[in-house]
Amino acid sequence: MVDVVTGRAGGLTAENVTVALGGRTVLSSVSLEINPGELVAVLGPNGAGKSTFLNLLSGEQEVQDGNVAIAGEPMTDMSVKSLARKRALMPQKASLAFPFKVRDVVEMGRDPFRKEMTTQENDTAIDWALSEADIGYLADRVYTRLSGGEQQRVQLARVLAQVWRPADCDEPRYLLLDEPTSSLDLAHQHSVLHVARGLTDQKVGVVAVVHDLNLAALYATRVAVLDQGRLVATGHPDDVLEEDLIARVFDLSVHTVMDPASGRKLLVPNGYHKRRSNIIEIRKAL
Amino acid sequence: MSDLAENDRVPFELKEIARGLLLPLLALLMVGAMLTAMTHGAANLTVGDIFGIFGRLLTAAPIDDQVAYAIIVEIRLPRILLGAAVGATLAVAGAVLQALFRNPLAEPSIIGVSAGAGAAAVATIVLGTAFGALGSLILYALPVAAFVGGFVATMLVVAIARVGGKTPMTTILLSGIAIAALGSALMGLMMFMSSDEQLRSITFWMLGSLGGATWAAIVPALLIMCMTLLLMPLLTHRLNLMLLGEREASSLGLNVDQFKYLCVTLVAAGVGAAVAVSGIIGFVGIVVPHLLRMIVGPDHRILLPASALGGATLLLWADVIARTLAPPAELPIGVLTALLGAPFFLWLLRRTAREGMTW
Repeated sequence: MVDVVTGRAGGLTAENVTVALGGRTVLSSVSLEINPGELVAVLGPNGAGKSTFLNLLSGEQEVQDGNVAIAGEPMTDMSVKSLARKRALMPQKASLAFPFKVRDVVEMGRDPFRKEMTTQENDTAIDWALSEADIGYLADRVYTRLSGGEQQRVQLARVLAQVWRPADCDEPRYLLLDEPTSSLDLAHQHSVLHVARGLTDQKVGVVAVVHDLNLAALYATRVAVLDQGRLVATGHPDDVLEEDLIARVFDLSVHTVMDPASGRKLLVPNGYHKRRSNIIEIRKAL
Repeated sequence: MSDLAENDRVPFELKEIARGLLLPLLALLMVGAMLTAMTHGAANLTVGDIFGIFGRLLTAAPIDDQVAYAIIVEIRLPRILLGAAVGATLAVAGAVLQALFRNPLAEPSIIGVSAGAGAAAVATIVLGTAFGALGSLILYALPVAAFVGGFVATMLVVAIARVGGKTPMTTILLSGIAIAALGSALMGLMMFMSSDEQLRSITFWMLGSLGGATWAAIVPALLIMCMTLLLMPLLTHRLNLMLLGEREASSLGLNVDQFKYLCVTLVAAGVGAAVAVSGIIGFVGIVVPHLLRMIVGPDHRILLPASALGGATLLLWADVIARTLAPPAELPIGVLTALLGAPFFLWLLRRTAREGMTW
């Protein structure tokens, strides 16, 4: 992939990145390249390092070992300003506690472009983001009085506004979503991933941390599975999400079924059994 | 859900109207407060007297009433300008810090500026006169010492708070508390060492007063306060981003740590200058932005100018009351703002909590 602006090759890349936080290795030599036009779902059990990986891709988490780059340019060389024009990050938890209007919150997503784009372009971006996140009807409401799921969709609209570009612009950019569906009802879980998938037609590369494996299988162009800080598998969902891997990574026994309606492979759990690691600990204790 | 949305619309449109009218209204209130402060005091003047004097000044006509001239131009005008500038600076500084801490209970003293300025000023009063070195220079040495003390204390707070290349707001808060405690201890020590006469001037200064307003004494402080006030509009967008959260602001292209330094420096300079000439005046920095945020919302594009006008108006009124309650004695203005501010703030907190609202 060659960047039209810089003429440099490469999408959003992590190369052998290792991160230790508080003496614990959270990521160990993970390498992954995300290209514009891809929707990569990052999967893995709690504590696997998914959020840290996303923070690393956003440039927020300092690289301790290895390299993170956009189009070949190391993130450490980029200013926060130019990064803000190339990627948007939706954190797992939002900390906004002041009563802004929903539209004002979404407008803040346009802040990196406030000076260089016209008001009309920025307004188009905001309206588009409001409608994509299905919160047009909330535009004049006060953010702090919305439900958790509604707030999450407002935050989504904010990052959507940040990656919006005029139709004739083919500058690559990246959208990083950390559990964007965690508070959403079933229909909105699907609508969010549908919107994310739609962005891949507009030169956007999307990375989303998702817990619902079937949701990932349905919308992702590629999945990346993290386990204890290591990237254990990456590839097309149908190839990666097989019974052995799920059993190994999630300690959950599943079987796959072919869904005749969609023609996709779906995962069905066989019921819960106590985690192996717990059993080992109990044995040790005895 | 839909009827909830309908219910929400009504107060919101009222809010929109309030937003549009609030700035002109506040400006009008401030002018009213200025005129009241001009006319009221130990000698009562009429609005006509004031326009007469200013008219003659503007047309360079000879002044007929020398007494009125002296009262208006030499006594009340500097005091009014000082009151307006101090009120505006304290309120805007409060609004800025509340955004940085993302907490509506933050106020200027939280970053150690008041305690630093206080300790330095009290030390100057006690040690300066004790050594007799300063003599009549004390009048000028005091504001300089207070300003430097406030500024140094704040820079110390920020430097201590810096952990691993970042400056988290929680460590700023905690080191601010520690430095403030140190400042109070120093003040206590100085008061213990002071003579009765010194103690009087210390207490009066610690309770806040606009009584020292002569042109010569206030011009440097006025310039610093006006400069910080004029720079504040450049911060509004970035302050809004800070309310989203530091991570969000950073991913939207804001250099968060640099911005914190800029804000804290501006606040330290402005509040340092205010404390240097008027002593420690509490509650303006916390009540004004808090109250206005409830009316116009958290958007700093409106909140900052509204806070400046509101703070100026509040302090001017407080000074009029302080001067006229028992003339010729003056109530310390800091006592007045706290007496009015504290119960009002408690009422505000209760009301906010009862309605289940976040600030």
